[in-house]
Amino acid sequence: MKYLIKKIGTLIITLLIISLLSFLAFQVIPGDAALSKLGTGATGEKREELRREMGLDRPVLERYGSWLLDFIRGDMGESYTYSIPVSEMIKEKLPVTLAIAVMAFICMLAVSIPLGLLAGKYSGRLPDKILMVLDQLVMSVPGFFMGILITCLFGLVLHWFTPGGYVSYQEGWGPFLGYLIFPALSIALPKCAMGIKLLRSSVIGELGQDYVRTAYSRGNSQRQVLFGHVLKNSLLPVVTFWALAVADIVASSVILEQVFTIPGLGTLLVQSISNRDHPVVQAVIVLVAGLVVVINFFVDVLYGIIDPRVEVH
Amino acid sequence: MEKGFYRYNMVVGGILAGVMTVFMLVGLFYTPYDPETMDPFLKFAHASLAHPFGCDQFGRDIFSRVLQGSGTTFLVAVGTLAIGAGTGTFLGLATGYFGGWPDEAIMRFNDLIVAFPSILLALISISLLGPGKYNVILALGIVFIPSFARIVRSEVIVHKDMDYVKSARLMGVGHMRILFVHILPNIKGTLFSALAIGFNNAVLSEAGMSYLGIGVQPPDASIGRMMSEGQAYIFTAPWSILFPGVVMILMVLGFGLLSDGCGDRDA
Amino acid sequence: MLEIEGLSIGFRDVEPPLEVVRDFSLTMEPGEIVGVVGESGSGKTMTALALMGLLKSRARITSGRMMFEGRDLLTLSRKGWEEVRGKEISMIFQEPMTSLDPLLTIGRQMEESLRLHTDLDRRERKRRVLDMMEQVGLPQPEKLYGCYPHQLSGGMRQRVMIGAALITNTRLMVADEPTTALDVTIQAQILALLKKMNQEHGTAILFISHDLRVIRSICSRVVVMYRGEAVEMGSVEEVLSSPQADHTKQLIAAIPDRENRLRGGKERS
Repeated sequence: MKYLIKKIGTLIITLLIISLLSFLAFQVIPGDAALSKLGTGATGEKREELRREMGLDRPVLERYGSWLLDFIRGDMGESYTYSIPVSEMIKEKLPVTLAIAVMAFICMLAVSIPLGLLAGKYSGRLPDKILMVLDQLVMSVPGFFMGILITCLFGLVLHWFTPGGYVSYQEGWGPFLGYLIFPALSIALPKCAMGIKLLRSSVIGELGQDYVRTAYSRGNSQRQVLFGHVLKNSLLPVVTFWALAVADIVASSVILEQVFTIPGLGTLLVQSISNRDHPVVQAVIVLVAGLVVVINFFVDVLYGIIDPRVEVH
Repeated sequence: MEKGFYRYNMVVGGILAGVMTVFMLVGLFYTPYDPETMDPFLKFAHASLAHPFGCDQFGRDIFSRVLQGSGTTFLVAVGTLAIGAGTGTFLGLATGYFGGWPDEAIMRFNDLIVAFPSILLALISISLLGPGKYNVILALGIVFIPSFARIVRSEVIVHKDMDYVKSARLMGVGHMRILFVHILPNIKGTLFSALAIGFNNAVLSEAGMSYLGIGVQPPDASIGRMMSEGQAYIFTAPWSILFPGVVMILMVLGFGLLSDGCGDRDA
Repeated sequence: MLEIEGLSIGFRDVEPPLEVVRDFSLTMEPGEIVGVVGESGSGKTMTALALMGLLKSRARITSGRMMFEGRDLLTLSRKGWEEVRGKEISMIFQEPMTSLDPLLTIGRQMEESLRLHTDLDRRERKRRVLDMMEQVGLPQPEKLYGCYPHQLSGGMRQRVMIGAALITNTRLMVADEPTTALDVTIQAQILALLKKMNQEHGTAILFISHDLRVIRSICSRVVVMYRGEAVEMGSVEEVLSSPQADHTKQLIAAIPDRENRLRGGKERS
């Protein structure tokens, strides 16, 4: 319980600092928001007027406070480029990116746990060596190239999906998820490779532990030792990796959305960066970072549940 | 058996990394053809002796473009490491060795930074700085500082309590000399491994950013941007994307194996 | 009950092949406590692990015979070993700190053998575990049942190990340096506990230690091992009062003088 309260405290502070940093980052842009909105041709007076209107003449912390309150209430400002509320643009794209990320995460777990266990158990033997070579190879493929390769293989050769044929979730969840499987896979594969490698070395380490010998001495079979004792223990360090991987998965989604031409948060972010549409960039980044922090929080809590020793320190 | 496997990894990785480094260095100064010269007669030309990687949609020699792009990649990666690893190592050495509140503050800040995916951080920086080769170096360099600081710090913490450091201190050796002459050479294995991984991350991040069109800008060549352009012709001219991709994989693979071999062995 | 004859264990993957145990023989009767004593590296732990079929894959039994209750242990299949371990022969280890699974509750670990070898339902298993906790002197069994190993002291963990090993009423327990990692007062308590369990349950104990004092306080017979060979064997009094092998004399001499004088042991040789 104490652990949970402490973690919630850290969560709130982290969220506050992240939002503050993101807010400040966009305050130091050369030429302030009023300037970017009006263009360089505007007169000084007009600029001052707009600055007042936008509240840019108030102290920074005060502006941060009101910005944060607005943000929490769902008012994320207005896009410079499209002059529509940022929240509406985001609301539409968020489910897309979220779906990709969740699928990639599930895919990562589903592949790396069994293969990591296998490689660890048979370490040094042929299947392990083949797997390790493949692993290193997969880790060397840039994310977007993985996406292109997967498009080639599943889209152009096997015809399992139509490249570029994204279907919005508003038109049907089945085809929507069916299309997103492929970017999710492209994101997950490199993470799988890393996860397999980590779990493998963790399993090798745990197999040498005394408690494994104890488990055998009580008459457990190899399978019982592996699943009843070793698995849980070897997952502990990997759970930490998974928490970090969440951030990477979301980031990779930014790139893979481009490869698969999917209108998600990532595409929105890249477009807004090109258009210097700062309110949108700011909102997306705060949202994504917030999401990552919250997921990390849940992983931490999960860690506390798996490992009884955590409560102590 | 395991050890042999890792040594094998390291040898293969070393050779590969060496060859690719030479490739990248050459790309900085020399290309067989002008990478920008378009030749309508060579549009989508297949691979041949004259054009080993074939030609792209404008009839430009892909090999020359990849070579030049590799040069850019190398420049960005080395620049990034110079900023990221340089500053990070210095911070890690200082905070790990002296401890105290600066250490605590920097580590908390580190934890915070982890929440931002590194490419996202780089994207924010780019959106503030604007795209371009040097801004990419600056953005990635800053983004890489925390991870190096963290790695070096944890190594220093282990080493500063070891007997050789204690005895050096007893003999009156100054802090700076202990840090740079005594501790630094002893953590070079870890540092080298981290550098190789950092190199890879820089290469991959630059490629990703350039692919998105917010990294290296023309006229600087970039493999990431080449591939984004080639993606449209994946059926008509698969080589325009395949060869750049393979070169990139070889670069990353070489340094990955090398880092694997010289870092902590996991078995 | 147990008959080991001419047991040799070697590592095959080193050149020249290394034999860590040579021609080791031992017999044990039901309910007996037999000690195996020797310095580290003398092959006593190897022997113990061989008896459980737990040798690491690099070590192999190169010759010999091990009979337990009329069954030849060396011909057992993997499945056969799973039936013997924890049901007929159990084992406790030197490091109570690391020998328990850190992520499972005490109760879960103590009932493991019951779960593997009997058809008892959950409630009955719990009842027996609580009962066993009482017997091995663990306070507040109900509370400890849901605790994790890190919440217990070393002595308590070793009690847990002993209770877990005896819960299926095994005929033989192999104790590999069970008190070495504990401090002296706890050591005495654990030894007393082992003796008590031996008397109450009739479990035979093969007690392995490097410490003759410990062996003296608990065993009736002792085998002295040196460099993989049994150099001396006999009742504890015999061996201690008139040691034949040079190595036994050295071991006795290693016992601190004061204690030697107090107990009328042999002079330094």
